[in-house]
Amino acid sequence: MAKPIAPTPDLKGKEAEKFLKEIASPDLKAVSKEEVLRGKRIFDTIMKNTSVFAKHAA
Amino acid sequence: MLLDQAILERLSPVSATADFDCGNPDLNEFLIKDALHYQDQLLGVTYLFRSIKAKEALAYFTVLNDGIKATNNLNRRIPNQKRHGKIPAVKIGRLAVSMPQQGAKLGSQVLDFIKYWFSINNKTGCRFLLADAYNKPETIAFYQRNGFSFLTNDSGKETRAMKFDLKPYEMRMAKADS
Repeated sequence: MAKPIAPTPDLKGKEAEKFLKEIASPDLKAVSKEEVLRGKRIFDTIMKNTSVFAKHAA
Repeated sequence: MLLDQAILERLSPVSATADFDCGNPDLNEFLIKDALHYQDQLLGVTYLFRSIKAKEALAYFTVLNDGIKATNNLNRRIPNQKRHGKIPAVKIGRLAVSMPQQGAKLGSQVLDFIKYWFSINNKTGCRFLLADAYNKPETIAFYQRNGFSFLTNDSGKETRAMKFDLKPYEMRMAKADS
């Protein structure tokens, strides 16, 4: 049997403080337009392929 | 791109996975022996990218609902009604690329797919992607290259929890659409 998926640790003290500050002010600069367009292109292609493949397989 | 000629397949008892080899025995064993059990128990769902022509499994990932619990006085900045014990997240419990496909950035494409998939219409309210990354320099570097950062400073474990905030991604999506 493979190792189990590890539980996500809880954040406390300074780590929690840093994390909550981060989520209170998300930074748009963290993600580029190219990254999103890349994701869209891959997503659209895969979904199209999958749909066409399912039709052929039916 | 490699995924141009691939389909997405939800793991099922008829999925052919026995020949999958990513070079890591634990990741191979998870897919071949354990992934369906996780799915049966509704503890994690595994998806395969399969090439249309050769039908070989190129990569797989397993996702499950999770959350980040952060306890601090700053929680009070969030209005009472919206305050939540945990910030909702989706955990990427496993992600692997088959050996013949390694070195072609397929892993990054899989992450690009997951980010977009969980951001589009954000179906269930999911702020973060989490990854349970092997604590090896190349694995950590892979997730960092793809915008993930450490969730905690605890570096002594076999795996490290890493996070990707979907809010900036969603903001960028909205900007790209306008």
